Amino acid sequence: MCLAVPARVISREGDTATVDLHGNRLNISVVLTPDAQVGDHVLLHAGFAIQRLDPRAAEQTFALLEEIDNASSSKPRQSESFPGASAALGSEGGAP
Amino acid sequence: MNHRRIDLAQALEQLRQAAAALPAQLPTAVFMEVCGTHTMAAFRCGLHSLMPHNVSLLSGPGCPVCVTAQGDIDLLIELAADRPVTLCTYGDMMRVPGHHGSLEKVRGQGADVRIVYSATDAVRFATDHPDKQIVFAAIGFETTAPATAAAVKSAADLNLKNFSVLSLHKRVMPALTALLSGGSVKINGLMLPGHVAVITGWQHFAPLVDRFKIPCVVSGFEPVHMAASLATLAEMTLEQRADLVNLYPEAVTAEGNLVAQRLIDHVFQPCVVRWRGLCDIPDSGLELRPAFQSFDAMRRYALVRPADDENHACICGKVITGSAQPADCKLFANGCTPVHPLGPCMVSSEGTCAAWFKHRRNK
Amino acid sequence: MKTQLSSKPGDQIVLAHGGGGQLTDELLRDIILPRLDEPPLETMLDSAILSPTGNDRLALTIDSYVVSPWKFPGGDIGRLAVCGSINDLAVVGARPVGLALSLVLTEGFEKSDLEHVMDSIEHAADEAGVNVVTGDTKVVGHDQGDGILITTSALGRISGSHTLNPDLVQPGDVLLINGPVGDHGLAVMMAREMPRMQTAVRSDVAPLNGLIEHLLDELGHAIVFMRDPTRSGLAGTLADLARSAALHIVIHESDIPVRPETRHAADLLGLDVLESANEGKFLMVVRPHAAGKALHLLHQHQLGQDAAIIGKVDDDESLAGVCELLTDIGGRRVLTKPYGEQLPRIC
Repeated sequence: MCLAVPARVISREGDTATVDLHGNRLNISVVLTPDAQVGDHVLLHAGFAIQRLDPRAAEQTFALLEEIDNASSSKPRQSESFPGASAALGSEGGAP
Repeated sequence: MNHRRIDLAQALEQLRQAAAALPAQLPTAVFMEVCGTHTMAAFRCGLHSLMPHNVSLLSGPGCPVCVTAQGDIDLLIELAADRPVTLCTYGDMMRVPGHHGSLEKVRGQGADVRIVYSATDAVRFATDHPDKQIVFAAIGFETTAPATAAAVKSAADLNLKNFSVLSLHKRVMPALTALLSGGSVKINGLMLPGHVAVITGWQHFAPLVDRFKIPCVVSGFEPVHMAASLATLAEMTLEQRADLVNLYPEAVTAEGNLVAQRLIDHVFQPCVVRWRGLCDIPDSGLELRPAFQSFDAMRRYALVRPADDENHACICGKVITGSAQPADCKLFANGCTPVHPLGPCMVSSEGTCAAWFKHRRNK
Repeated sequence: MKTQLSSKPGDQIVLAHGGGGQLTDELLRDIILPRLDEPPLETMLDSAILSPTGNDRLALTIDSYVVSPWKFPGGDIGRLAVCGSINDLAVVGARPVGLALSLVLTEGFEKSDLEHVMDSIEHAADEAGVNVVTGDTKVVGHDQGDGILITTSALGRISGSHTLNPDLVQPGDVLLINGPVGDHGLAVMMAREMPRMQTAVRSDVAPLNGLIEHLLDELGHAIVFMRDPTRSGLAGTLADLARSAALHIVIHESDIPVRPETRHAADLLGLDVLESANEGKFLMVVRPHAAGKALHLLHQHQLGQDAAIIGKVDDDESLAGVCELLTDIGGRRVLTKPYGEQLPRIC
């Protein structure tokens, strides 16, 4: 335990804030992170921001996540001239 | 403190090199993670299949579902089934088996059990339904306790009369200390729960190194975090060096989230609690302070904790302390399966037995 | 109110029995199927293939829709009811002939909501090119139902001798999916559990018969099996396929299309997109020589623009019956059929 995900603060209303997770918008509590500001990245757990993520280090975390997102959303469609099939037939993954 | 950009391939290579250099006197380096989310994340990305043969990663008592004593689960079920309340709970607890059935089953029989994403949802439900009595099942470690504390404080500020909490919160450090003092678990290093450390700070875990001379790494939950943590643990084992390293600096600081710590302290006080498999550990639980006792469901409903009555063949307790593997249990895949679990280790999708059943049984 | 605690765990129906996962399989195996001893049921395909005299075989399917809430981003129970049954026909190679529609309304359900549902049914039927040819409507007391329940049965016709069956799958065969997975299940879950959240995730509910008919016309016998991964998600469908074909399947996680907003919503709730339902997707198993052409044809269609080859059937007999996922980081894990009810978690 425990499941927590990074989210970006897009507005702040006293003890609550609206955060964005790649197009999903959620209203959460920021009582545990009173210094959270619009534009900050926070770590979200069970409806609460539990930490402001360090902007420099957030780049590190987010670079990770953006790589995954870019990979899944904007990667070129598989080529139809059958390398897709050879990829499926080819690599066997890492071995210890 | 390491603050370098972590690269997965480099981390795996470092792990392999360290493992290859481990001395012949140490046939297997055994590390333990104490966080159900780590267990889940490791299996999801197939980390175990990439680990060197002489490095093993055990799952310790870090899954709050697994370590909840059966008597406590029975309390929740009794509340939902026998009392005129709406029980609000996180999804994690729905399928945990008590002595008779589970929350899922009593919901099926007509009990008012609702899954919430946040403790504030439970408070809101109480505000919106003054005619109903709401009980919130508060589980989790230090990561989740601040949310419950905030909910109780907000209920107090609103002077809510129809809201109470059954606190099953636990603290990780006392359990780790009990585990390592017990001597029955021989491990070479600990992968510490990154999100607990977000709240407590990494300094909070320093006594583990000082007292037990064991390498510790505070780890995040991405594959690259876990691989880098294993590599660092392996290197420290190789160098026979016991240190505490924070490999989650983007979220974890030395002193942690002080606002959250103060809020926990304002609402809760430590108490003795039964950990499944580890018995009673002093100061390892959190109970509501006297100032907030009107929100304590135990008092409000005069609950008496039933005796535990666990299936004697179930060795969940040994599994979560790393003294046994799922395959050692007579019931594993033999009456105890994820579809029909007997013990919490099989119920929780993060539990060691469930994870083994799904991912490692065929190997 | 004192609820009678059952002293024998497992003797009552729970929600998960309807989840399409392992618990549903158990219920079918233990109680339902033993009493219905009919050959078409043995094969447990998406539609029953009947063989009356004449040149064409008939296909018949039935499904009930109990989704709550009845309306969700991307669709509603009406659209779902039409597309679900049409797609069950399409994946066994049948063209729809007619749809039967049964409505069970709960007293108190708003008439304007019924109009909305009927509009959706009309539009979906038009899209699929099928007519609702017969129906029934009932109303039950307000505490006997959940607003609206719909059952649809669809009759289809299969021309020619082409059979689609897991038995035909062989090592070397290639698996494709027509687009991103997990959208429907997550859209509904969030509409139900987190109604105050503004989600970008939308159900993918759509009729696939036009696309599938085109593929069958172009590829013929090169297509050996199809299935729509509804409840229990892509993981459940793949686990089932590996088991029924008794072969080893290897899927490449990085090749499975997933929308970022869906992935993030799943992460938030602690759910797995591979275990989340789809209502506008189908898994297709084709002979290797036809994989490139299949992908090309899919990409040309609106419902296949993000199609991808996701894996292949392997010849490792020691892993027969097992579907393995080669993870994003090069690790391996086994895909299993989910329990049956997706529960959000915080730990």
